[in-house]
Amino acid sequence: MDKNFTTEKKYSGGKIAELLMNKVFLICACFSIAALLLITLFLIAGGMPAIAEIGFLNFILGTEWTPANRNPNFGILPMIMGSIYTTAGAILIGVPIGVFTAIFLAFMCPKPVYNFLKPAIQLLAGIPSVVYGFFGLMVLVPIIRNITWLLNIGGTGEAILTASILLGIMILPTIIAISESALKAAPKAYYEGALALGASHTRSVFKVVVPAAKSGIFASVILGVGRAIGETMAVVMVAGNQPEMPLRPFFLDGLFGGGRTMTSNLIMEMGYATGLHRESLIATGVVLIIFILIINLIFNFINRKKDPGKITLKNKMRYQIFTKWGFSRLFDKLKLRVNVKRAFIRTVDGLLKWTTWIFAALTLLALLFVIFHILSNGVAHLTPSLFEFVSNSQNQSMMPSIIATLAMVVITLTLAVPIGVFTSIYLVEYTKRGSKIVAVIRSATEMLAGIPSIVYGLFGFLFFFGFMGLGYSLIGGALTLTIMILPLVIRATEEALKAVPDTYREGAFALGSGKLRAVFRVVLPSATPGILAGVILATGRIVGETAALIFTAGTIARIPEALTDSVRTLAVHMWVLSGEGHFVDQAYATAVVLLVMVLLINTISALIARRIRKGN
Amino acid sequence: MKKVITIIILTFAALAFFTACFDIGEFNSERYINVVSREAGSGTRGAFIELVGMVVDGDDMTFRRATIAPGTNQVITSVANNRYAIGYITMGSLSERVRALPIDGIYPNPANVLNGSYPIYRPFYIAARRGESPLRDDFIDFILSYEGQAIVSEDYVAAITNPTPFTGGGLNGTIVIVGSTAVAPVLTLLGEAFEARNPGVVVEVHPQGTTAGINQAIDRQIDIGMSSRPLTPAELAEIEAIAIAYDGLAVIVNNENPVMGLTLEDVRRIFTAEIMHWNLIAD
Repeated sequence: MDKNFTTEKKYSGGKIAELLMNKVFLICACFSIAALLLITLFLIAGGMPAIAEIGFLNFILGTEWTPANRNPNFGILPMIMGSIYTTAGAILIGVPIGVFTAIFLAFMCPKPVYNFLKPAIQLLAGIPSVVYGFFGLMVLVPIIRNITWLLNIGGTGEAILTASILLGIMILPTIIAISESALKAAPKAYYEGALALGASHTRSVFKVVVPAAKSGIFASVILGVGRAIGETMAVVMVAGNQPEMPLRPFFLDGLFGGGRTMTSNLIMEMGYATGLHRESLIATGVVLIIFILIINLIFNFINRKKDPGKITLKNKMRYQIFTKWGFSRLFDKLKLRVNVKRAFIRTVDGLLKWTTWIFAALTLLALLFVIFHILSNGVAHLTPSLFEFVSNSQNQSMMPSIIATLAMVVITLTLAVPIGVFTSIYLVEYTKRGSKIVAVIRSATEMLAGIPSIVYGLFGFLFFFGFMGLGYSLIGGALTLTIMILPLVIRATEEALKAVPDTYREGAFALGSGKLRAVFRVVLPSATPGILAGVILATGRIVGETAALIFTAGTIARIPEALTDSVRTLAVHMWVLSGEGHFVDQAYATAVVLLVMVLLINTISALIARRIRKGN
Repeated sequence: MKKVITIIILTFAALAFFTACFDIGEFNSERYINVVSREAGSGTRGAFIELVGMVVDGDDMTFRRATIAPGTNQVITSVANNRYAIGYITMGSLSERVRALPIDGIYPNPANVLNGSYPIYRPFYIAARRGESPLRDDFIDFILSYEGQAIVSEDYVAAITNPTPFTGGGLNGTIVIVGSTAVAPVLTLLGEAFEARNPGVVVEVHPQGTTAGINQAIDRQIDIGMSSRPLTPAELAEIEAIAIAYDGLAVIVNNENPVMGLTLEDVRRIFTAEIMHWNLIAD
């Protein structure tokens, strides 16, 4: 009797906890919806007066941006075109290189090369955009300028083309990672079938596997577009920034002429703007969000169509056509001799193969070039005085910034990880598949993931700095970053939770455990490495962030003593050094330290990933 | 593996060849002038266009396709790397990376600004309400004192002709200063000197742009705003502007540029794109 009584009591206590935590999970899950609503609301409320006063069409289609004139004009078409041109250029450069590199990684890469190339590409993904911008300013701009001199055309090297090349390099990791997994996800049977029909390895890959992975590759391109359109710090340093309609994009003068993107307009003028000027900048933020919304819709549309596993009629046709390859039939008609046919096919094969190798080498080269440039110019300037605890005009020590970065990481993660993990627990453990709330929360997090960091900066400036009166502060920056990294944490945790076999849960239930207990005692522990991987990724994001912090955490290079102190993280330090004063050498040295940090973060995440793989 | 190594070596060789073609000929005066300006709303740009006479009917006539550099050092970098470029910066940030041109034969330096012979100069202001906070008043007194103006006159011209020695001090607290990126370096130096005298004081200097600083000072979000342009009447109705220094605006060109000097009229015509080639400048 007595025994029964205690279990009964425990059970009811558990029930209360169960109910309570259920609510907690739900509240956390609604946080990202609330954040998204808050961002949109604040930006729309801030920007609408401008759009109302200027007129929507005048604002969107106006070609004059002269905010400082007595009769100012606020037309953002030049900036919209600037964003579109640089993004299109980045896609033209980044997509072929990225996709071929992904093909290389998935099918042609010798194991030792893979073990080197894969982490190298992850490093490319981790390099902060301010470091890319600095590299572009110091290396790409002079190269492009020399070409304009050779071609004897006008131009300063600060051009749409320069920004496109830089962005092309920056979107490579996104495109490679997603295309590679899409290629690997294509059914093995396709490839084997092609081989069995007598096609060479190269042919099988290019004619069968790549078409099968088409939608995944498209998805990677769309994500690359999102990344390119949202990029701020790197573009503002190399694009020339003329608030003028870019010239004809497919002619030399247009390629080598400058332009301004929406994001760079925000970062450059937000500090100066008042009244209508400020409102129209906020409205530019709204336009950026609309762009991201469209991109997300396209992405979802493509993803919904993705279904590589099914053997459809079309795929069957592909098999059949494959036996009579396109060119082959042409040769038959021309009645050419068989060995000519073979020679031609072999040449095409060889060309494709070589293109793959060369493009993969280009990716590696881009990375080596960036790293080599930073190291060769920075290591020599890593003097002990740069690590003193006090930073002042004479000695731009980076120690306060390193400490500030650590503080920023710790505070942001303390805020974001519980919310993110609880959200995912709610999504995975407490809802039925296909439930409406899951769909809503998921699209909210996807939107949050796509919003450019400068828009987060703008929101943080309006909400945490202004509305909540936090001023430039550590906590203001951390809160802004919390919303920013939340999607990362949620996605990683969701994946990790889903990977836990249902038998674990069933086992726990069978032993009499409640749901909450099962989640915390059984599911979470086995999902920890996956969650940790997400946290590490988020850490990398925080370390590299600049645009969102300049307007929220400020730029004071002092060791923070309170949450309300203004701080300067290392990436912001790098931006300040390259922006004012005579500290190019120190900027390089800071870039070296940033690179080392990214390398550390990547190594840790690789170690965790290895543990996960072993665990499975 | 052999292939990889060959490819890497080949691409590196191509790259080396590419960068070897870096230096292309001598300065060619038939080429376009690459005008580098600052972003709209920048105090430095506002003062420059006013002083050079590029404002017509309240409109800024700066060449529409001028490269816009978002800060003093970006201007320096743009000009230092491009032998056909021309830009303007505060004379306090001049360095050997670029060359300052004499205007009408007068070089930009504190002495020439002081005797009024250099034509392009403007005051640096701080915007603050006095009498609200003892610490803020104490810091403003320090800036205007003998000691403060001595720091100012290292790179600029002191605004006060006969400053008296600083007598205050001994207070505690934080002073938050926001504003012009051009004024920030000198206020950082002043803040550091003030902190050294008063161990309990922290001076935060945020270079976020002139207008941001003035507005936040008006809204009482911060203590002091820094401005590199005169305040507008609307702003002056709200807050006091105190001149702390005079700064010459230096017109800078690349070290390889053979042009020895410009007239003020030349400067106006270059920056409004009435002259677009270097060989059209009458020396």
